[in-house]
Amino acid sequence: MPSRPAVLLLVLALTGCGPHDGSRPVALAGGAPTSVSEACALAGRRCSRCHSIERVERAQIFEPARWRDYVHRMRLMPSSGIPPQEEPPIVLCLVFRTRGQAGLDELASEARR
Amino acid sequence: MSARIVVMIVSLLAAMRPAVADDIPVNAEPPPAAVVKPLPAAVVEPPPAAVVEPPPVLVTPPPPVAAEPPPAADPIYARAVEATERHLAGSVQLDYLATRHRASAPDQGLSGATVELSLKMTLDFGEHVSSNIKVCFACHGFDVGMAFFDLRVADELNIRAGRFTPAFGSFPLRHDPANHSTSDKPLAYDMGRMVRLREWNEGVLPAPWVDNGIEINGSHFFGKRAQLDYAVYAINGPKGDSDGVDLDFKQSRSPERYYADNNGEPALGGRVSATLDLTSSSILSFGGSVMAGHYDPAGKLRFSIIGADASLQLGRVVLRAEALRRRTEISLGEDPATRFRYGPGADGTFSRFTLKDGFDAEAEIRLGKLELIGRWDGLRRIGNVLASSELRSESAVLRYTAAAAYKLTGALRLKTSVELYDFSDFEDELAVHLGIAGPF
Repeated sequence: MPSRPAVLLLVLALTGCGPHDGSRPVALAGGAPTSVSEACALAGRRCSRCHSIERVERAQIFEPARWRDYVHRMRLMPSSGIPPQEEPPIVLCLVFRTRGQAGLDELASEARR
Repeated sequence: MSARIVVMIVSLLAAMRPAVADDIPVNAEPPPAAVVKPLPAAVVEPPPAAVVEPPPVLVTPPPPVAAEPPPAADPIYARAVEATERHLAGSVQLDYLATRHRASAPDQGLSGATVELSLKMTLDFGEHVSSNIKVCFACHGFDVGMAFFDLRVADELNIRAGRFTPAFGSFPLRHDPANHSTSDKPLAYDMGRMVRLREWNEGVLPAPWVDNGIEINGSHFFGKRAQLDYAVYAINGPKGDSDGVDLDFKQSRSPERYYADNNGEPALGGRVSATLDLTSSSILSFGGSVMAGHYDPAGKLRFSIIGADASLQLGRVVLRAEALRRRTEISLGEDPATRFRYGPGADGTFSRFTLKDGFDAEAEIRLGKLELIGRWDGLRRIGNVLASSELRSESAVLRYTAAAAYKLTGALRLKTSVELYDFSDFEDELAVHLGIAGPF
């Protein structure tokens, strides 16, 4: 006879397992490019692993360089699950969310320097 | 509250940016990007209201603030200001704990309403240097949870120095009430919210364990799917009395005992963990942790803690399991026969060690705004006890928790849980939590 906790775990697993992890993308204004929308879906998945996505959306950060530092620091949190390749798209999403295309242009010009 | 803490809180509050409206819906669209004006490059840290035009829907107008003096003309000062960015975040949880036996045994737990507040300020000095300062308020009053510098040489090498939570276990990473869905912590990490906390002297290692010291940590990524983290550290370590029979957690956060090492000998520890991205929605993490040292002023009484943890995310379901074990040397005193409840063992000697271990297994399912959590956790203590103790040579408690968290608006969550305590030495207890928590 399985224990009550085991039954509970089994029920939860069977009802919840699936291809979707329950996260939502970082909220964006309409009309965002597809690449930004995809980046924000990725940001939603990665960031909500450790905290609510609202925590990111409420961050009072406006400068592209600061978003880059912020995401870099978060990526290196233990068990973040954010590989280096995913850092640029997450920054892309958050910069576009707060500064739009102008922010992306600023980010690109900084990278060229 | 010391004057130093007051000064720190005032500094934190002074650094706060304009308040954000509390009623951002979960799926709120942000303002059109064009609404936010870019910051002038030459002025990096002005009063926020003067530079950033708040979006009309999401941001309430900031209160009038006294104009800050313009940055000094000193170019070194100007460069320093330009190179830093302050970022303030925080969270609050108000939780009410109701216990069945409150009227007959009011001191068996910290029932009633409690608040947990954290205010954290992060300063990024470019890619390689950052610092964190965090002030917490909870049942024990104000405390400094973080005050450290990170000097990041590479992904694989970061040097952290100051006051921080050393890397031990999985739960401390999400100990903030806004970052976990249950109202309280697993028993192994309990910091005063468990029923019968005084008899049990809290958990194995109360979380967040905050200490002064240095930690070297880093991460290495293997492709896009695997991450290996490590940390080694030297900290002041837990404290206790010379004639102690357990760690005394109050001494670690009592100004009267000073926030200094009581024996001048650091405790050492470390952690290794791995994270594997199985699919786009499945992640497996596991790790192991150790900590060891002496806890008495003379540096003679040893303790060691080991821990193992694993978590698996399968779509909307997250399964977590963690176990901790602490071996603690005790002072037998001059007359152990009268000091302790139990006599010597078969070899005629009194054992100098006790064992305290704990575990938790939990399943969390995310259904949109609703999160359902089932948790099973426990504590066990093996070893001699003082003659006055209500515990026995082997005591245990198991706890069954059914919990739910519901997003009311934005990140604000209503949390509730029902907990059944199954004590080996006391009457079983039913406890109910109802609270509200959120980040800002």
